[in-house]
Amino acid sequence: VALRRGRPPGRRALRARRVLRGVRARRRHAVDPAAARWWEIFGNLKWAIICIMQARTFLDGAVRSVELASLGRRVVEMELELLELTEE
Amino acid sequence: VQDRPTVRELLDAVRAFLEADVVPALHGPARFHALVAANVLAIAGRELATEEADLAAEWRRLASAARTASAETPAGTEALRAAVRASNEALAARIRRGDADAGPYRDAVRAHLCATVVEKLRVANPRLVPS
Repeated sequence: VALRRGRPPGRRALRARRVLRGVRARRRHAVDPAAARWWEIFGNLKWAIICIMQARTFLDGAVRSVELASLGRRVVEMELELLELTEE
Repeated sequence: VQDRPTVRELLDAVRAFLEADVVPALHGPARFHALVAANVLAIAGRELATEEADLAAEWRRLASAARTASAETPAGTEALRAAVRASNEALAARIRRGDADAGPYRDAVRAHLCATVVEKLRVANPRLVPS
């Protein structure tokens, strides 16, 4: 089931396309879209894990920071990205 | 029943105070943290309004994905939250086993996760809800 099937590409997709176009123009050879997608999935997963760890620091009572607490509620943003990126 | 203001109204009042008075009076990291604090109160307010309904919807989807539709919906928010958490752990175990790698179960799990992500974004960051 699609979050965006049949709809125009989202902000993330547009940003990724712009970056790929820029890289192609400068390096005069094609970027492997599958590799780019892999790294994008990796980057989102990594940022999700960092946010979970930061929220954990708050939850364990190590650092009572509202900023660290708020990062726990940003994990869903990467879940959205990952669902869109792994859609076939 | 408690007198007005409701919890939601109290949270909104504190958030308005932070945004209108505290943020403009601060600079640097303290200003940023006041903005984060205001945003956190907004999240809490939205969650108060929808938590019960979201939990019930997530529970129904989990039960139908696991084909345990006969399972009775737990009464009370606390019991419902615990039941949803336990079902999510069971779901994670099935995904880890590879059950959701392909086929109709994969589609069912994806549909459930997409719906859950939208519910969570409506609380955490409504601007990112896919249109």
